[in-house]
Amino acid sequence: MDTTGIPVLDESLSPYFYQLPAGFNYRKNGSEFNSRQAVLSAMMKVIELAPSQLKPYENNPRQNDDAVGVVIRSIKEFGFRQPIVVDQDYVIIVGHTRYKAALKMGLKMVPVVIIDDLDPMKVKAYRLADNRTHELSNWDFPLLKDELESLDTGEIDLEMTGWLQSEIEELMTKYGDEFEPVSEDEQGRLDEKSPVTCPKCGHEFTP
Amino acid sequence: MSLHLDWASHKAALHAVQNWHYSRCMPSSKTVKIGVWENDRFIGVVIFSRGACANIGKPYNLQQTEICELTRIALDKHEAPVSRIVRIAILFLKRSNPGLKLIVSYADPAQGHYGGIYKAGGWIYTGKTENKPTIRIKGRVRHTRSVSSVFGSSSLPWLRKHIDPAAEMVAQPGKHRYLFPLTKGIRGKVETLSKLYPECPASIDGDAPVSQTGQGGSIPTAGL
Repeated sequence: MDTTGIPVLDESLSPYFYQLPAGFNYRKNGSEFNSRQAVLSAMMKVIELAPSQLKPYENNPRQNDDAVGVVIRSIKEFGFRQPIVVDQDYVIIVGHTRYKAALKMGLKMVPVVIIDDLDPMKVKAYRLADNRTHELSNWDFPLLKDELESLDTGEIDLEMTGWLQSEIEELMTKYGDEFEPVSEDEQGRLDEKSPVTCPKCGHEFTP
Repeated sequence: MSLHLDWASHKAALHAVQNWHYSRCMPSSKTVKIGVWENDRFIGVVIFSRGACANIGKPYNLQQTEICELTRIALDKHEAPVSRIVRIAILFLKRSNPGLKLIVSYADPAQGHYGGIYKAGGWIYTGKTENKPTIRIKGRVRHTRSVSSVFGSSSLPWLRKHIDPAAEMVAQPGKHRYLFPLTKGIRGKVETLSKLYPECPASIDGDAPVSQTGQGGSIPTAGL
């Protein structure tokens, strides 16, 4: 409770921020905020830093070199939409691939969010969890096929999505719904035998 | 969920067996192909074909044109029970081939199949077939007839010399045989051959019980 009588929630409650009711003040890093938006802005403040200021985490177990090309294409097409997340020493927590892409593209500045409210162990765990949670997600391939089909208007290169042309073709084949019912005439008759004509002598017989 | 069955093209059937059936190939004889659509999406095919050998009807005193074989149930992920899909497919078959009297089908224990869907569909179980000669060639186990058809001979020395030096005979257990009579007359005859349904084999690495009496072949996961 602060001097105004408005209850104050401590920053330790930040994981529950989105579940908290309105009508509270929030304290974070010694500062108090009087709205959720204000806290959110403080927590998620995006700043600009030069890629050279950022430090890749030296023990990053994620091998992402193969994804750099796709990310470069994505940034070129869609812009740099997801900030790189770093700790207070500018060591990257989330966004190693975007960092490598920025270096390759020669970007002078990149958007960055600094996390300063997690201890080093939690930062380490978050770094792994962020990658792992992506892996645990699955694709609904028929839906994916529908989405890719809806993009296939010729206006954009479908490989922008990160899916290779060969993979897209395989998806379209495997989950293609081009198979429509046909006439009964296309079926064989199992309850009768058709006469066969000998190609040499012309003799017709039923096998 | 909407379920729709209708006649399928050869191309659709081929796509289904190549993607959703362990054999990866179409039956070699004449076929009747019934496609399956769920929510307007093609999800597979049920294929009936002329018996693999001309004598297939002999044990039941039937001509080759009075009996057929259910040779493929090739389905992608689906919501409708397979037994329901097969039941509808049989209606299509009966309508288009009124001369048929009996359907035979086999469940291959080597593929982990024992015929749960036939049991669910009320098919008559008549025991296991005799062991069949098979050959492992180019990493795949094939029936000798299939080997002859694909490579031109099923002679092991010839195959070793010309196709695959590692080709070998493989002992293959018999398959479970199921019958589905299409007329009352033949039902009366084949019911005398009826045996108790085989038990569902336990999963090698799972905890599934060997017998799941009254459980319809699978035990649902308990709600969390």
